[in-house]
Amino acid sequence: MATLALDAPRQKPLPLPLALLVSIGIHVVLIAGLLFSSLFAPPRLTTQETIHVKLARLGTPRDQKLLPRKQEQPTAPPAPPVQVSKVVPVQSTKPTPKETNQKAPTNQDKLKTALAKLAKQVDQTGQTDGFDHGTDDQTEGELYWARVKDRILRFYTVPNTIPEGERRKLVATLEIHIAADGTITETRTDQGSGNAVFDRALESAIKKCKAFPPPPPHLAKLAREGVSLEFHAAEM
Amino acid sequence: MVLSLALVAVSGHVAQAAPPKLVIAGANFQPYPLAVSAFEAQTGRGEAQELYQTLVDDLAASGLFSPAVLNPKGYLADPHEGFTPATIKFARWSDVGAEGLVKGLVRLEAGQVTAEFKLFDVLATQEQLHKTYRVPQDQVRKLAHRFADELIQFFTSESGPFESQICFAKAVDHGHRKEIFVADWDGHNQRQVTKNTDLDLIPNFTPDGSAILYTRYENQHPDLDEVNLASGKNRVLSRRGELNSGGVLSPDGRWLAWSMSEDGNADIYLSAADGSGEVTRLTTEPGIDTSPSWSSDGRQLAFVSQRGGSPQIYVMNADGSGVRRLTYQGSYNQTPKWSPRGDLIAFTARDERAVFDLFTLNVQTGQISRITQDQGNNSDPSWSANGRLLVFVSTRSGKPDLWVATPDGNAQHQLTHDGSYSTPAWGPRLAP
Repeated sequence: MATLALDAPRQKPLPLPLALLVSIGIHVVLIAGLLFSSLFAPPRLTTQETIHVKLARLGTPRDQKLLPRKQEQPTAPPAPPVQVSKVVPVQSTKPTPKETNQKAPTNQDKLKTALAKLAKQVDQTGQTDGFDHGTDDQTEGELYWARVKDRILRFYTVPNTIPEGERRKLVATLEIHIAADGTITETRTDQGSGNAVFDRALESAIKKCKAFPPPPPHLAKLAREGVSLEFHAAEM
Repeated sequence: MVLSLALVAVSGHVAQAAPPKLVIAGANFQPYPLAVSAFEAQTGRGEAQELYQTLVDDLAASGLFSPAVLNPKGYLADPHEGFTPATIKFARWSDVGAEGLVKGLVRLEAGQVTAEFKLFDVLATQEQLHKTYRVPQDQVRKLAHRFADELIQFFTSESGPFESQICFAKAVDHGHRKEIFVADWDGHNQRQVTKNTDLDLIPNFTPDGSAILYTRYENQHPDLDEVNLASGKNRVLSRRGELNSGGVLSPDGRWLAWSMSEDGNADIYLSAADGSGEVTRLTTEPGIDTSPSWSSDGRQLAFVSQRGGSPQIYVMNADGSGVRRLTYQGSYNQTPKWSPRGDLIAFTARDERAVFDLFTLNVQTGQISRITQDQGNNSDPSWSANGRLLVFVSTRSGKPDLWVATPDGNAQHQLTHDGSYSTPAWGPRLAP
């Protein structure tokens, strides 16, 4: 057996230059494959909201021994409070830069085209600020009531004729009924604050709200039967 | 605006059992949107117009009412519409943002003006206030001030400042001397109360509003005098030392605090209200101490002292104990005036641009806030009796005129236009 083994024909090793060429060829193929896949592979879904940040260099802090200066008044009134959603759907492609002239598609254009195709495959139904994979009833309920609260706050304006000392004590409770389409069907003051100006301001705020977003199905009955709103004039 | 939201029982199955409660806190406080319709004049069109303008000026100066809604240019309603809820088209008023509406009917008969005012709730389409006044024809402005105070009382449950008076020093005789004047809060109906041909400065009302204390340079010697407003009678309260100035009576009218200089060093002194009897020296530190101002409870005095090297605001008990420095910002702070509410001290300060401006100091927190900025020199603030307005001198129009501002500086209005004013002081609210 040993003799036979010794007599078996021996394979010759590849000459060094050839081996190097084969190795380089394999590496080139691998790198090209990786590049190709990174360009045309579907982008990874992100659940992070895009945050636009403007960086500004801090000025020199005002000397603490100097008298204060008034803040410059903004030229436009501040925007109403906007609810920041936890998740932004990836299908939103805004803002899209405007094309000024026709050019051959670049890699970036190809990437955008691929993204657009991918977006068409995603089910786009549901709330624009919903979750990619849906929400449970609890989360959806919280989001809905947060939207209701945001809308009320937009109109929660109270006359400054109310003395500051009194503001801390003012609390009133209203009940509102919300129809399936979001309209307010009934408003009732459960407990007034004792200050007619404040109570009128609350009723006015609800009137100005006119309607809320339609409640989700599992909250429709609850919204229709009444939601209690506890207003505090001062910060808590 | 910080808000809090408590969602009670909104989750899952529990949400089906209990109604949700949303807790909403931190209202956005804004001026009240009150519209004032042009007054209907059955007779006396001129009086109706003066009444209307005076009332609107009062309300605008208060800082409590939205200037945009007070401006009649945008009104949509027929100016001759009715005077009762049934005849008023409230939708026309709510369309311009009004939530309250004032209407007036004016009649002039036999030299007497009768004015009937109504306040309506635009949203509730209801009448809320109804007042009728009758005054001699030459007191139309007074009538407007009275109804303005009624509105302040209605909305804030506090007395209004518009029936009170102000006093001030005013240059006369081509600027060669200054005399003391009193006027309505808005600078109208000025009346000269001193006619002594000396230099008269720094007037202050007595707490009952019956007299004015002031500094009089008689024979080049600054004395502390008092002039009775009804009789015009003058008396000297202090002719001591080298200089007497800045006399103010305690809120109960029993004590007189003023600045007196002996041996070249001014200090704060206390005596009986008429300046007689024993005089107590309250400050003993080296350095000038001037401009005393009583706290509303009469237990403390704010004053200016240079004991630290530059004029700063200090506070001490009425017996001179417990001296405490309040200001550490700015290098030239003066003319402190303690608010009748007790929480703020208004003062004049020279900022790093060498411009004088008005500031408030929160006595409890030490927080300093600016009232005026980049509008000439502003000085000598004095509080209205309800602590909601300040009268002061400003040169922003080119000459020293009287202006009024809310303590936050948001509403500022010019009262006078003939530019020769200094050291104004706001008087107490007088019973109508």
